Amino acid sequence: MTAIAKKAKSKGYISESKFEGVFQFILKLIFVIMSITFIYPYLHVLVQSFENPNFVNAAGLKLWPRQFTTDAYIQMFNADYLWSGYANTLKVCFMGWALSISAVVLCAYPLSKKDLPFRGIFTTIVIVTMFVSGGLIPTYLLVTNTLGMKNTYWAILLPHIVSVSHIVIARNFFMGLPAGLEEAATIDGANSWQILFKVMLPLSTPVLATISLWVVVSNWNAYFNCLLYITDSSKYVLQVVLRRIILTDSAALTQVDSELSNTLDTSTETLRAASIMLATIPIICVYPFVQKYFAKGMLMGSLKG
Amino acid sequence: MSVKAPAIKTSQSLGYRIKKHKLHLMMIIPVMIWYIIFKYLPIYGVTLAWKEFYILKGITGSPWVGWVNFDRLLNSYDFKNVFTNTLILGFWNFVIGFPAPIILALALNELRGNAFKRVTQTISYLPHFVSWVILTGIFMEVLSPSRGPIAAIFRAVGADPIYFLGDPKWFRFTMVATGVWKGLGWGSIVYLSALSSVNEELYDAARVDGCGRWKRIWHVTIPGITPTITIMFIMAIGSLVDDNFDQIFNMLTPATYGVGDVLGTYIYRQGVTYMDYSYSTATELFRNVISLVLVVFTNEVAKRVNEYALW
Amino acid sequence: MKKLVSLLLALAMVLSCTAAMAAIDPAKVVKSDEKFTIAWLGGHDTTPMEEDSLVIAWLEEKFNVELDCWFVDRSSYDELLTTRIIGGDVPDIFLMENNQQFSKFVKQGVCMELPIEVIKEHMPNSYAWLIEYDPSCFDNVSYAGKNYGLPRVNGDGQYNYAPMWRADWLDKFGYVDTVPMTLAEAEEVFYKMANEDPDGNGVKDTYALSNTGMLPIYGAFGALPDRWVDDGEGNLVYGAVHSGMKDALTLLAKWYKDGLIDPEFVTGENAGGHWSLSIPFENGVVGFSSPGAFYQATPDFDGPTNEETGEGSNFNFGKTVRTLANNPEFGYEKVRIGYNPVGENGYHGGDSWGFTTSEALVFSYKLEEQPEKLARILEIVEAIGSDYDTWWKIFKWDLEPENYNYDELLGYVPVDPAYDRAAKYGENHGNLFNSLQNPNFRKVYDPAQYNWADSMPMYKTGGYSRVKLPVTTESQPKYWTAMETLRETTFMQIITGEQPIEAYDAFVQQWYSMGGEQITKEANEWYHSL
Repeated sequence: MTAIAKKAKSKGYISESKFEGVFQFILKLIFVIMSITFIYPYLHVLVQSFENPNFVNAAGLKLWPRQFTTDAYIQMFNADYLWSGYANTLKVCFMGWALSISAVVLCAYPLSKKDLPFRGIFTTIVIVTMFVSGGLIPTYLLVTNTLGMKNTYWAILLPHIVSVSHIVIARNFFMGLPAGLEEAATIDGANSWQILFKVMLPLSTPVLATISLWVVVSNWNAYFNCLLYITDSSKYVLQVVLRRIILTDSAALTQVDSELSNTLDTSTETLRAASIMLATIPIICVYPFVQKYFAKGMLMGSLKG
Repeated sequence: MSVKAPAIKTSQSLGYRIKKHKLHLMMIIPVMIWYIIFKYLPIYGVTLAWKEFYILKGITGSPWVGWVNFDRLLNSYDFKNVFTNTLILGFWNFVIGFPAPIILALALNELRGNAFKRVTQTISYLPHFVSWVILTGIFMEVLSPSRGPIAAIFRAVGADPIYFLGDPKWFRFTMVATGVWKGLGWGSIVYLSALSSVNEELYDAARVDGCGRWKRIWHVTIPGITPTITIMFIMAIGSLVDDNFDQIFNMLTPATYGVGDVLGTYIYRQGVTYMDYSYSTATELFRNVISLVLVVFTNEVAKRVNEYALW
Repeated sequence: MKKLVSLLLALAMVLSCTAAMAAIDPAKVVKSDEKFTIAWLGGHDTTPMEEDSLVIAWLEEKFNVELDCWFVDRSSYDELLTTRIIGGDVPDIFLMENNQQFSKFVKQGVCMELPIEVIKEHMPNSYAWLIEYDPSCFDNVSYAGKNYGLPRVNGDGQYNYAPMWRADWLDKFGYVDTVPMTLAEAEEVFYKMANEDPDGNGVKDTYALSNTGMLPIYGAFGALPDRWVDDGEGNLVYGAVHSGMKDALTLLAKWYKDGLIDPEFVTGENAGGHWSLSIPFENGVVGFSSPGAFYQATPDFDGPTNEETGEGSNFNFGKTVRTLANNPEFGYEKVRIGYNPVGENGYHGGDSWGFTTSEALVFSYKLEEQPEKLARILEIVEAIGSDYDTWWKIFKWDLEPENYNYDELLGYVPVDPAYDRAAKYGENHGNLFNSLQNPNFRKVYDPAQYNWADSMPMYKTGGYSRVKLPVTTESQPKYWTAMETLRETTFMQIITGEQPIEAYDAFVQQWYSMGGEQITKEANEWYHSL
């Protein structure tokens, strides 16, 4: 700790502490109230998933199941492909994460160099895709007919590796790092790769963690491309497997196809709730791990080293 | 290379710069190739906006029809109303929805108590994982003027319950409030991550200078996350015309068409029944052009303010 | 084998259409011995067929084909299917979910012409029962005078919607075991429901009806706002501009002002739940509602049920009624199913799907060159669509009929009560091959539900069909959304009093001028061409 910090500790906090307690109390109160509103919908779904199917349609707030049952989960766990769905989703998430993070770093780091040749052209190439896109059909034709990737995870992942905002956020982060770091490393004889891996990346964990979270969550939740490109049931990702189990609810939308809607019954609602739980709990558990990288003062330590 | 060149960088020759940045170029080229293959090869698909799409003829073989699809969008009976609604909702979503996650992040930053902070933070992003279909059902119960808990509170204080989802006067408010609420925690993550790299010493220095909480936030915290705010700001401006389709689609009723029908829902009602690739490409393009204008303008402004603009 | 025979005997008793029972003679229709590979999407499936499924193996062997079973998720059916077709894959037989897509595919030559003669030749039995149920069912798969596929029918669509009344409220108002039959009688009761505190809690917190309850009211004036109806002179007219609509709106606006209509009708009755639910009816807020079809109002039959969950393993009980039956404050005895009230001019009726749906079965343009392959596909459709034994094996996914006993009241009952076909094979497995959905078969399989419906005359009074105009006219894509938006907004505002009833005249004028005239003209051109 620097001298300044010590001085601040001994002086600053004392003058503030009178109000600090009140301030913290009010702040916490607000957060508790907000948290209740954030939790309720999730609780609602959780309660529905443990509810006897006969009661799922009953009106009113759901705070506790009227008749507790784990049938929905038992049915879920007994379904074919559930575990392979988890495995496939993990695989897709990991592959997608590795691809996206590499691409973001490899693109954003050079772009953070102001005198990079062709920087304007590269930036334009990236930015233009925000406003012009060929749409689903040409991409589908490219992936299936030209590249022959149908029924592989490449088809799901490759068209969506990076997005503009990820690159720009990472680039700005790199730009914001003190220039002295790189200069020092260069003097020590490190080349660009070494600087990137040894100096820049360790300092960038907060921003990389954020982008990782975005990428992983979006891959975790994605299902449309799996429906479009994957025809082999054993390759289905979790979201698609869960949809299979609960039966798609579209019959309820069209109403016309009563042969189907006729057989849809209330147990579907509990299954759907259970499937939401099975799909979201693992991904929500990721956050606390990401959070760890948001801890303060990491940059400071490295700067001194 | 280790010699610091005092000369102005831009005066360096291209050849010298290529040599200097050889490794950097090697890094970026694969990504550019990816862009060319997956984003630029399929770009011919935008021509659909001026074509009538024939499934068996493909995109290139389909006949040109001129501006028919744009005409259909811009001259359709409801377009003016729908476009106005989109802009108004977009505006409020921006005005409320853009600062809200920043404020949440700043508030979390001021919180003492690590465990409490972590738990609240995790909870705040739960709504992101519940879809609008489910949330709509829940809001219908919670906001119901006859059965909902909100209405009960109104009655308890002697006020008339408000029909949040059915009353056109309140519909936009409800959309903005619920939309911001859902995205609050998720949106704050990027700022939290940015906050973690603000130099602690600056805070200490500020304290020594006798800065109070608000001054510290204003002079240390916010400048520290300015690069992130700038980018998120430009992105948010660019999505002013991207209505929150899933939300509005699920919550919209005929009673609120007048104030709540937006481009997305309107096009959906046209498109789903008459699935029309050309038309949807044209409407997409229309939106993107507006977005482009907004982003270019904002970016120019941002460039004058700081160096963290998009380009 | 004995079981099979008794099965068939039982069938013979129930089926009126004996033609449907005729056995298939493959030798008669199949002209080629070639083993075809068929890309099959001839039905809706909620989950993909397993590659090693017994049903597929059985079908492949029986019809000497190789089946390439498609699976297209229903939530984005049109988009996924069209994208794959654009990519060059066209299923040999596939289902079109809506007629707008149908006319586009026909126009663009994606699906082949299928002359009626070909259908008659290759699938005589199916053709016979289709025509017997609805002589006009092929209208919806014809385009410019030619036939392009097979209609998809919905046996449940023969039964119109009928409203539900709160039985205990009716009792209080003097309708013991009866229901109001005319609109005037209904109105009288409606006023009492709103004003005379039927729930006896001393607070004026009840209404007569909400959203779905309005449909039978419109129906009493000759049309539903969103249906095409015949104006009595052989011309189609859109319900929203039908001559009776102004009177209907006048009445509804008056009711709203007088507090008969639940102000929350605006957000609908199901509060985001299943479409056939009525939360206000369930909660005793309204006493009249018409939220769902007959099978959503069936009583709980004493079918074989799973003790633990209360699930019917063989029967499908309505969601609405199940919710009601399990609501401690409710119970099925509080539901009285009534008739759609008759208006002054004798009009009556509620929602009705109609027998023929807006879906169509069509065939790839590539089959034009392969008549033998087409014949083989039609043979499969014919067998599953008109031969109960084949249908049973496919749709009920059960190749072991010995697992069931036939009961006249309950249909097929598992010999072993613990035998759970659904758990073994999935509830809707086999739907992919249930292309024609022969309604006779369901009645055999699930008689209790249909016997009940047949015993309730209110389900047979007729309603306003959703498929009166099954085609999309030339101008519809251009104008329709704006017209519908205007209609929904105007009607809502007139009912809630935001606009005076005079606004209706302006609406009609506006409606016709913004495209209604042209679309009505096109609709009638089609209607008269039949």
